[in-house]
Amino acid sequence: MGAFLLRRIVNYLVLITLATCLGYLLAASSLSPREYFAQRQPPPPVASVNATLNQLNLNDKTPLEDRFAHWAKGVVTGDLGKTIDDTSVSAEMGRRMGVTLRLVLFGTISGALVGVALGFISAIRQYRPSDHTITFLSFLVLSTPVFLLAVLLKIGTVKINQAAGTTLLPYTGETTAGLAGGWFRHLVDRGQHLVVPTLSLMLGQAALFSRYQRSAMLDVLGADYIRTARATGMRRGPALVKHGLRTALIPMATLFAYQMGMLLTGVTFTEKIFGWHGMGEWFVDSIGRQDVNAVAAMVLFTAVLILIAGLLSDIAHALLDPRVRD
Amino acid sequence: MSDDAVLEVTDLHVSFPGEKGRPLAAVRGLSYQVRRGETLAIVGESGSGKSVSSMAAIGLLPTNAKVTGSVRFRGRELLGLNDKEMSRIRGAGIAMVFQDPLSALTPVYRVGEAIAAAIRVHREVTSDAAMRRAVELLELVGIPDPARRALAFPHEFSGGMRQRVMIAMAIANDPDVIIADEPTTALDVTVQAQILEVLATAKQATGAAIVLITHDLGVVAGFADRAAVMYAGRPVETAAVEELFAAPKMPYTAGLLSSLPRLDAGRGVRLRSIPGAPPSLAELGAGCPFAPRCAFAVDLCRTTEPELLEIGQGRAAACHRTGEGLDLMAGPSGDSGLADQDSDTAPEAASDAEGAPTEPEAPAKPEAAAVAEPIVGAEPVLTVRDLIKHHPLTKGSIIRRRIGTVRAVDGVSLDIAAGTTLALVGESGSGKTTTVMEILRLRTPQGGSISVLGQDLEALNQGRGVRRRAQPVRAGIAAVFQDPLASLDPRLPVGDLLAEPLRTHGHGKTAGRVRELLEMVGLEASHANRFPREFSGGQRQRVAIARALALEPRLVVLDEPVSALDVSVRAGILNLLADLQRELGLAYLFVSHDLAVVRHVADRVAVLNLGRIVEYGDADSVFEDPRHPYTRALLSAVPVPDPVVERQRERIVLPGDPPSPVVLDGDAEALRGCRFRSRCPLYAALEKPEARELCESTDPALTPVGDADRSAACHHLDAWVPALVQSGTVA
Ligand code: SF4
Ligand code: SF4
Repeated sequence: MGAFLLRRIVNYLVLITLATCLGYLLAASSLSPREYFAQRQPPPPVASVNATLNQLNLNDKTPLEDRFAHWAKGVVTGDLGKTIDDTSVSAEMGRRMGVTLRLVLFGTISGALVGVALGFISAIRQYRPSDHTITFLSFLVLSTPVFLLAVLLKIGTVKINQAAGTTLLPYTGETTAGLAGGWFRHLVDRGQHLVVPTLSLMLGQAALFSRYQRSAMLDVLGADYIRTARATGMRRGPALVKHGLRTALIPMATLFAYQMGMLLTGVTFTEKIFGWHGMGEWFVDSIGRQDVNAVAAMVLFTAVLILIAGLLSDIAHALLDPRVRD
Repeated sequence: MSDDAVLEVTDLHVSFPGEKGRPLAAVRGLSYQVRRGETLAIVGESGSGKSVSSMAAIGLLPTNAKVTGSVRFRGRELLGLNDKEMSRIRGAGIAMVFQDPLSALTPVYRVGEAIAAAIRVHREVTSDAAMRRAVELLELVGIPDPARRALAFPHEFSGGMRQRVMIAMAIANDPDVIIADEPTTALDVTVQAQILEVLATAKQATGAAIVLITHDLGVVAGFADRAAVMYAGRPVETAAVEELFAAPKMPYTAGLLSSLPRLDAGRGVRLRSIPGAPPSLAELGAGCPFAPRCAFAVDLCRTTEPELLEIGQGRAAACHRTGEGLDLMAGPSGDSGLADQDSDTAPEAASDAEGAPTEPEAPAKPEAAAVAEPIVGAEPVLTVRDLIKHHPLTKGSIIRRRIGTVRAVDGVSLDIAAGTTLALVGESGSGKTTTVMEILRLRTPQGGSISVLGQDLEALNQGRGVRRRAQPVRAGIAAVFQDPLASLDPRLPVGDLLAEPLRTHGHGKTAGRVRELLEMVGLEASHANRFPREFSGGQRQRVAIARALALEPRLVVLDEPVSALDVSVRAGILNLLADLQRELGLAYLFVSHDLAVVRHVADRVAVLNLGRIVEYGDADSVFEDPRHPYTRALLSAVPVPDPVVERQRERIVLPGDPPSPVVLDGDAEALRGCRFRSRCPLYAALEKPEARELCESTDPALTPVGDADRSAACHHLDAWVPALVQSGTVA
């Protein structure tokens, strides 16, 4: 297992490097930082624009290879370059990473748990009203774009807050600005802020997982080993969970990890709509600002995240299924 | 008598909702009782209701099943109990052993955990105590090194080992009744013999009653005390096993018994076949369900279903004509309308059957010579020399690396003369299927040579125009496989299926030939418009045979052609194959794990073990006087459907599982000496160290034995040790 993981990690490092380099090259050749400066009012002199561009390693007059070499040298030493506004990309990323990870992590985990539970219920009550309801709702959610879902949630939250007469569930930003009180008060505040945005990510996840879990569970419902478990005297409920669900969870491990990666796209909308300053928001803004280094950093972040997810999925798969262990 | 019965089933009926609201009756009035320590066999073919009835008894049928009647366990009525109450009885009072242990064990739990869990469902013991008990149970069922193996997962066990685990699980809570549902189906014969011994051990250890559900009359003969034969959801005959086999009182039972190919019968004896196929539940009418297939049916049979009536001490039969003293085993005379489907060749066949040997004591040497005659001078249709097929064994699901070699076929030489049958026998992993596939591919073999119809495949595959030159060879060799449904395209009507090979080989007019083919295999010309799924299993296999014959091949490869078929339809197919061989002069390469069938069809036989032939030669001679220790063990493991013979037979039970043909890289030891050594009872019994040393150091080559054109690969063919025939050597 150890050797296997090591080989996996080496493989992944190669992939991350490739993805990031390609990401940089694409960004550097298609974005045009010069325009960003040229459009300023009043237009700055060309010489000063060139100077700034050179200093930021963004000058399109410098050959792409040279810019790439300069950037790559920095990356190797842990310096991701400067943003177009001459701040450190690494520092900005450090600030924003946690925000996004918090959303994605809570979104996928809660979504997976709820989805697995719904899928399980759906499967063992196949074609009964509860199954039909879950199926209908999950398709409804799946066919609603994330941004629409987020906006609807926002409206719903307003209603709830009005009904409660207080801001029970804040829905903008990560914290209440200028909040006084101890660390516990802050923690609760952050928790409250997390609810609605997480929900916007979680619903889609739960809907998706419930579909997969339902069919995985239906596959094992007729399995001989459940019959065996029942024949030893185990009752239906425990047999379905310990033998059925336990086995049907195996394919979910893979799904879980990759969904975590996929959610990075969904999180862009969520961050924008709920005013969270995370990586998704930054990515969209950076493209608008023709910010090559920031976009490349974002590619790196996504690649690392997806590949970590892949690694986790391998580990989870091996933990759940003895048949794939070496 | 009913006082000491632990399980008493009375008038059990089970039905499922069918199409258009008409319920399908799967079980229609089953009654039986078993006492502690007794074994009752419930015998039947697919759809007879034998498995459904046992699932009904322990309350594990789907909720839409309607169950009526009575099931009493130690006097307590089980039907109508709720899941909680039933769960207390399942596993503790009544335990089950299922078929196919691969899917019957949850893949994610260690086998020790699984057994411990079964214990803890019923008893409040610590998990340590349960685990210790699990290890004891594994030891009881003959798992070597049980403490370590308890930590293994089901996929790390062989089929036989998993079945032992299932039995350990079943006896974990000292049940009073063990219901074993086809416990040895799909296992190799040597493993089947082991599992039956383990079941006997389990029965001894628990004193439980066993309800053995099976289609295999050989197993019944050796293992059960009483038997109930089921047909179309009803018991049609119940009797003590000796009486049942000696004098069946119901035509279906009699037909089954006389249709079985037997190891202790001679070659070529014509089997009595039962026409038609077991009825499907949906098409049951009034009258005796067996009437359409029954040679004794009278008008009354078609209108009134006979009751199961007591006809003696512990005997009952359901037949209107039971009291008439008919000789059921002899078959009716002159009732050609209902004789089997290959009756068009009846006169010839009859004379053939008369001349054929009926018992091993009187081998019809002249007849064997007559069959062998065309071999002399006739060009062989298949010659295989030193065939080798190895493939690399890799490990790892994503990153594959080679860790060894699967020596699937490791130097096989065969000859088949025109018009004769060579049988390849062996257990799983012996290389018989790989050998056949190598031949059918018609490519240059990896090692050695193959020549089909006089054409060397290596030469054939060289140079230009390979396709064109290979065409006649392709047409000259055909194949029939085990599962006819899988090998026939379900979307094409049978007529098109038969015409297809004709068209690809450029025959213009096909309609006439299709009709001819259908008639040749005992089907009607009008069947050409039907689809494969509209046929029964036996009829589908007939279609597959017709398709194989379309291009007038000279060699037909038959890969387990009757293994997937119901017992009562096998005889018809075997008879058909025999007739076709005689009429068309076909040569057969017959692959089977069923030695009784092989005994029936083969002129020559090759016994395979680990990709090598260990014994080869004239079938009569090999079956009557097997010389290689493996052949001896294999033959002794096959149950004979005759309780008297079966109970007197000494059995050589081979230890362990059929070995795998895998040799890990760098494991030179595995290739040293005789490869059968690890399981060889003769080697184990050899006393002289020099003799053992020979087995350990030198790989025995096939050497001629006696005078009957035979050979065997063993250093000690003459050293016959009495210890070899001892039974009870379970691993
Ligand atoms: S009742 Fe009639 S049809 Fe049925 S088995 Fe007896 S003789 Fe045959
Ligand atoms: S050579 Fe030795 S080990 Fe091999 S079959 Fe003969 S006696 Fe057994």
